Amino acid sequence: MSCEKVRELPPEERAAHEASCPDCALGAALRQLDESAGEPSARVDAAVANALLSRRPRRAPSWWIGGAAAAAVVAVAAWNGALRKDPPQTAVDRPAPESYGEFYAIGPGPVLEQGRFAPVVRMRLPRREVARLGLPIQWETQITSVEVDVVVGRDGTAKAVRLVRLGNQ
Amino acid sequence: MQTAEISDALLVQRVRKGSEEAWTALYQRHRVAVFRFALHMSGSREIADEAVQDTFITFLDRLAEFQEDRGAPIAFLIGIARFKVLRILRQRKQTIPLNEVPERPFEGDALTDLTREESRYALQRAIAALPESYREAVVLCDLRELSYEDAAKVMECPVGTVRSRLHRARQMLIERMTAKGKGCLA
Repeated sequence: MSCEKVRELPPEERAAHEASCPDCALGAALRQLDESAGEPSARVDAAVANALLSRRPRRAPSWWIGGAAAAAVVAVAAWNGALRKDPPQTAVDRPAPESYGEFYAIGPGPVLEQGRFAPVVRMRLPRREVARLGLPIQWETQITSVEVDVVVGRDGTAKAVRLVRLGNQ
Repeated sequence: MQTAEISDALLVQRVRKGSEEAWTALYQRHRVAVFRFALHMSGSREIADEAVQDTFITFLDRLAEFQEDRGAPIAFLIGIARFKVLRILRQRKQTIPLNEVPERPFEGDALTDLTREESRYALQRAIAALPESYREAVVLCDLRELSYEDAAKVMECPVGTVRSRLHRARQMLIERMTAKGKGCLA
């Protein structure tokens, strides 16, 4: 009997072979051990699932597209103006770069373990939810939702949040 | 086409384009293998969990380095996990947390009676007691059932070295687990 064929045998014959062959018995024992080893915890699953979201390239916000379109219009106008020998138009309103508020912890416990990195997910939340979390927002504006960065803990839950202030806010 | 039918290589391509569905499918396909590799290497569920998380996040960060024609994603993933586990063990200045694999009184032939919890503990302890390079060979080839070629890539050594380490590791396990110490694969 070749040991390579043992796994194809019926269970009784396989057991008989393994009883007399330590190598095959070891192989079977290792497989049993592996099958009883379990799997990663739910918090690891959640953290890995969030990892891709936190690494996605950020979508260009609509103000940036609008700004780019405006810049293109102005550039074309400037080009036409140059052809007409008019004074070139130089003042182009560029959107200011985004800025960030401070991170606010959500819930009890430390936000981060010392020496570890954590994924940060960019998302848009209704202004009401942002206010409920205690973040300082301006109620007089017409904005109904707000961009925020959320720190995701190793257990997959949100640990901290900060406001992202876009150039036009 | 269902994601279960899609090859690893195609899933990786889709992950590169930002597909969340492909990332989930790739993770679901390999999470247990990476976890069990880390668990058998470290003897600790805590370390295995940490290694799985770090491994997949590192995989995302290093997607540009992964080349489908140079090996299976599982070998690449386990290569990362190996580095993580060894780093964690060395940081903690321990080869393996044997205290997490308690010594149990053992009677009889452990290899033919793995249904008993004592036998599993005995085998876990025997694996944990192997030198690191031999333990890797057993975990990769016998437990994870990687090909010798893929195991050699993970272990960064020639295929012949994998074979010889595996042979020696099996002998050591058999000697520890049985009274006979003779096998038919020698």
